[in-house]
Amino acid sequence: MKISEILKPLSEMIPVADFTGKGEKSRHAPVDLQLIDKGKINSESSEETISRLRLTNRLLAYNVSKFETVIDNLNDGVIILDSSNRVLAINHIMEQLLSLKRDEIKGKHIKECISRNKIFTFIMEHYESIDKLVEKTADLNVGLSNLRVSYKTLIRGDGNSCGSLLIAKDITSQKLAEQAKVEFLSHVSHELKTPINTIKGYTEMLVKGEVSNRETLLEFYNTVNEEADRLASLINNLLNLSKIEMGSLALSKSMTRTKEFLENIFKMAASQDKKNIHYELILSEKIPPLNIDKELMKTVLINLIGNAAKYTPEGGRITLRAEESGDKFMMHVIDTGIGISEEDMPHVFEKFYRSSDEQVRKKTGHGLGLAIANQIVDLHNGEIKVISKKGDGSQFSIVLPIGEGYFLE
Amino acid sequence: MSNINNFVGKNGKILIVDDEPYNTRVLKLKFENAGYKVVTASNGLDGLNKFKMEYPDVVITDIRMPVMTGWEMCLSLKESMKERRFLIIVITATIDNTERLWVNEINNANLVEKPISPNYLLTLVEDYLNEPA
Repeated sequence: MKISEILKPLSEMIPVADFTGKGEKSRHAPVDLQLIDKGKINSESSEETISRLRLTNRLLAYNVSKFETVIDNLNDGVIILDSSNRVLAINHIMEQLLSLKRDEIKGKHIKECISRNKIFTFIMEHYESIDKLVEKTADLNVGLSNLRVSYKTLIRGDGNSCGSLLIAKDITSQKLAEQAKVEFLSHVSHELKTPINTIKGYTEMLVKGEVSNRETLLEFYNTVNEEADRLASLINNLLNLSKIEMGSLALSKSMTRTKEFLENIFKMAASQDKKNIHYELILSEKIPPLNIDKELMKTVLINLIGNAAKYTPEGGRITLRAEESGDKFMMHVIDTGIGISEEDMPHVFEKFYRSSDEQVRKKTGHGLGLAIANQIVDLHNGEIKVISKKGDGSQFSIVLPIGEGYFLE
Repeated sequence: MSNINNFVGKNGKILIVDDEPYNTRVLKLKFENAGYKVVTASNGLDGLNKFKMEYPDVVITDIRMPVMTGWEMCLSLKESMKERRFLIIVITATIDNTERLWVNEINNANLVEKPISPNYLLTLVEDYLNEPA
């Protein structure tokens, strides 16, 4: 075996000497191993020296592979340059990002590597002055991903620099979350300001005495009253929704006598009727107790029945039907209202979604009721289904699992 | 209500574009009380059509509306701005980067933040209409 082959990993490790601070001489003049083979460099020839070198070499190879295993297992892209800006190491993710292969670039000066990637351009812009910069960070869009790239000087224990390190972190999901937060806030302020705006406008007209006839006065007082309620319900819904989304809404489940639970909600909903709607409650003979968070499930049903009432014309019918079906319990809210168009159907549970349909827009709403209902049912490991056709009423069905014990509180 | 009657016969037509019926209701009443003719529309596209038919002197519009937003409507009104003078008041829930960008685009739009005072809007309109053209 040629000495150069035995010593190959050693040659790859030469830049590592930078990090120990003891390799000043070899740093800029890697030993050409071929010269040893050709006998042009006087090497010790005793067996002892060779076996010593073999051991050192094996240790070094072990350390190199350990080091590479660690950086290859990082979730971020990593490339490390030595103090002469030669590629010391690159991990799998960075190889993919830069479309470069480590075998082809290791030990090469960064200038000799070619990549069109923005990260590479970023390195090229800064590597010459990296000692002065210490750290340079940028957010780059690479393909469909957002990457936070941070390029920094590697500082040794004695304070001298020994190369540079570039880390690329995928922050796509973070960016999406930030964007969603901004959109949410903008929606919220819009939704909150809508009823406040109405209250402000209407009261100002009342205060200035610009409303004279009795009928209009009554209409104005009613509107202000309703908008105050709308604001309160909006705030409640927002709080619930953000609690659910932050995962901090803990269900407080208890075994519930389902029949009484449904009857109470039904009575309350029917008593709010202003449009001569016929309310109907149909319960099957056998109603199992349910292990639910009563307050939250009440919110779900009130939201569903409230929607039904909102979009059902004068003299219509709203039915609350409940039945056991296999290992599931179903609660249906059925109305004879305006129905949901095919176009709106996929979006009904999206928060802040409101139909562009004139008939729907005529009614006030903030597009949160169904989103919350859906999330609450989801927390109960159930699901909400909807069957509807424009002009032909809607049926919302809550499907809950049963069988989590039949012990009543 | 004699003070209101004094305004009757004033020249000036106001187009109010908003998908919230309460908003159009209250502003319509305010401007009619002040003696103006009021036309309402429930979204940007509707507003655009009414604008072409009615030749309003003032357009008061909300931003977030179905079918066509207030800003999109304003963009389509830009051509008409070269032909004749009219006031645009844009009612917004928040004034943020997006709104600032749009105001640069529609450079004669006046932004008014919610909650709006109908009285303040009337002042804006009267000031504009009393200005020598």
